[in-house]
Amino acid sequence: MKGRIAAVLVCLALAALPLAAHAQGIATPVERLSDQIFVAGREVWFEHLGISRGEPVARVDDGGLASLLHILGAKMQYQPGTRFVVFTRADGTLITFTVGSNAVSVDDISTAIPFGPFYENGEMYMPLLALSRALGLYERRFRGGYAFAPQIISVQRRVGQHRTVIEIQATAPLAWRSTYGGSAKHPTFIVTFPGFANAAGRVIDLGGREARTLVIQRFGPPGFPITNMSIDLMHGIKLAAHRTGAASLDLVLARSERDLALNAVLATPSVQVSPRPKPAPTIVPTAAPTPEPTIAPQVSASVPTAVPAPEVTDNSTAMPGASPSPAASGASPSPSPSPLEKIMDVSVIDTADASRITLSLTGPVSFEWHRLADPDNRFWIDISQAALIGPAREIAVKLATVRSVKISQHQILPDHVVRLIIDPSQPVDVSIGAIEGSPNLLGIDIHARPPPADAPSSGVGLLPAITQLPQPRVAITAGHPHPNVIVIDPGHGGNDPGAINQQLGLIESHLNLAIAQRLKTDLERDGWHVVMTRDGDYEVGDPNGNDDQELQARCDIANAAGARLFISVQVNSSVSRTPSGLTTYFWRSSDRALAQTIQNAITRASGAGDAGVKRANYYVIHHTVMPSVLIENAYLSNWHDAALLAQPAFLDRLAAGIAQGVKDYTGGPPAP
Amino acid sequence: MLAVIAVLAGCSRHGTAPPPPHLTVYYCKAGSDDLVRVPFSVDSKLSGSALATYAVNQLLAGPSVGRDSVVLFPAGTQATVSTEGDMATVDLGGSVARSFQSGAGDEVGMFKSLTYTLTGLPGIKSVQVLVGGQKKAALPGGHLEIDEPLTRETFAQ
Repeated sequence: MKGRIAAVLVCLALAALPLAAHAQGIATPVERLSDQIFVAGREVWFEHLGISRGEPVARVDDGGLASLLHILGAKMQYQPGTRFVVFTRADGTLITFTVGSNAVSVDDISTAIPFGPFYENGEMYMPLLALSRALGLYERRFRGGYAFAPQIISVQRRVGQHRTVIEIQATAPLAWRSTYGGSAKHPTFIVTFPGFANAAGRVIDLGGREARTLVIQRFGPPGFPITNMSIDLMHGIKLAAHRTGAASLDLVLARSERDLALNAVLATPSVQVSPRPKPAPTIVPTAAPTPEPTIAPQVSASVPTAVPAPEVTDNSTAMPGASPSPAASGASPSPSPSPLEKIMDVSVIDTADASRITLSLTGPVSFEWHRLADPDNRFWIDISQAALIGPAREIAVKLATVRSVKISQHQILPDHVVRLIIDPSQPVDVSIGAIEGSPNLLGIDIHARPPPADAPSSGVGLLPAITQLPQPRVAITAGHPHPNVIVIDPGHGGNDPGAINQQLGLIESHLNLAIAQRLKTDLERDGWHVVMTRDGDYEVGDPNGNDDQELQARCDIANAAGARLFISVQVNSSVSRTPSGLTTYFWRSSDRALAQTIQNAITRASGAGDAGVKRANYYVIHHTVMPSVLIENAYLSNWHDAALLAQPAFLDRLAAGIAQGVKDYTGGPPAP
Repeated sequence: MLAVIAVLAGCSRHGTAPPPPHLTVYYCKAGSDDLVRVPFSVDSKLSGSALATYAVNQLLAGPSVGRDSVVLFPAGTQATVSTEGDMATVDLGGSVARSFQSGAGDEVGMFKSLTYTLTGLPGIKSVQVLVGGQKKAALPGGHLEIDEPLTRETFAQ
């Protein structure tokens, strides 16, 4: 009897399963939402916009959704009554949503989402945030609406004998404007992508032969973003832009006109931009007389079943002795893809005796690591169930004892494994852990010292349930790889206006930017190359991130730029009306002289009161590795100072004073 | 009746010697980041976290009228204070956790006064600031690094 009851219960449970699964896709309340939606800088009108479980949703047949996809060069395939909604991104990436499923498949890589498409009153609704992420968009919630913008997802540098090619890949059709700036001696080529909004600024080292650096920065308010690429060209270098696909662009930098043509080095057929799978165009120099380094192949997560499974290991990063990929040896595809975590970004902070590589993950992962004995000394970390966003690549680490660090999608089947390999010239000590306060950041610290004698040769770990590494503490100057670069950091911005003088309508974040822009002009006139942490009224870090990330993002820009100096520009305020004048702050004792020199020059040039040089542990002058100061340019809370700050001529004098202080301290930029 | 109570209270105060002050609260001097020492008399039985809480509450309440000192914590700031070993932990909430809109100079003065007040208590050498229960690099909209314990050395020139 008991057995019969149990069997009935099991049957009932099994019968209920599909119902339960389907129930997730129906009868979900949708409240009407009247928010504005901006896509790539244009407002898009939705007729059937709603909110469900706290997220915006739109009916799949809404004209607004069609407009959104049209702007992004994406397409939707959907048959009423079916359970699948398939999107094709401009770069060919295939996205599949399933009604009632809390996962989305992006080129066959499955990712968890809060909820999938669902039916209400016979109409299918699509969750917009999940769609936005699958489309690779940068999203921003602002008062009264949402802004979605495509991003530049990959910038790769390829160095040939006579030229450098910069390959740019985006998630939507690229449109751009370009202009030359800077001086004849230090020309700057600026490419502007209206409607694009990269989440964070980046500085890419271009080696110094054709160009020094490429800086990516986002400008503009959430609804009307702009992404700028600024290339600091060497004297006499020409540049040509070639569209290589709807969402891809090559910038060619060369001294000679004939090397600017796209086919100058790349023999026909030189460029193959495969619509699928995935971004990075596979560029094969087939018969070039001077072969350029082959780009590491983009690993595809898509495994065609009708043909032999592709080799998925990047040969340039494969470890000797590592077990071959089951895919390469003909294993059948895994029938049940489990949710993967993505490695969205890889960044490096260098100090004199250590380098920290930080992997930004979308969720918890497990990993194992191995160390080879001396004299090989290689160290590798395999991160399971993880997908590397972007191609396999080498990570630039300045530590002298490290020859190379590479990361690649090492394996796809049966497990997705991302492998990071450290190849040192002598034994190094490596520690791995979650970064304190940032559970989705995996930190790998490489120390220029031998590991302890009893150090194990392998181990496993979990993120975030593993040892937490302290926040990066960069206390030692790593040298000045770019001695002609100065980073200016206009304080506050975006949602953080800083102090406000309501009587005069003065906002600190605006004043900081106004002074910083004048300072930029002055420094560039003196021959410096200037990198701004922000050039508009926005947050430097991820606007959805916390305040800690905002401060660290500013430091990251300066550290990545390898700048000679870091200058944070602020305006002071107090609860008391009494304090007035200028103060220059430093933290490291070694920066006192810089602070005093600037303070002397700025008080002399501006005529404002001298409130002295002071030491304070402000985050941005502590966590930048180069000489750093934070200048408080008078008090908004003081009537006399505020009246001065309202005059553009006073802002000119402040900027001129800071620039003079820089000149007095450095003697000017080094000769090119 | 009220008069009688007042007289009795007065008699009581004059009849018992006040306990010696053993708490100093450091307020900021108006217009600078110098500190102004203000002694307080407290119940001699008060110690540990209770004493630290009393000190911070006095700091947040501000100086008495007429003194040349100011309270820099935004109105509405709340604090939960505890001590363990030689460290006091102050969890700030309320207005201060939303956005600090004063300048960098006031921010230094604010944390300097907090640190000096608490490290003036017996056995306390450092102060760990939390915001909403969590360590933060700085206050929202702020500049001064507070993710590590503050000591008087932090504010040394």
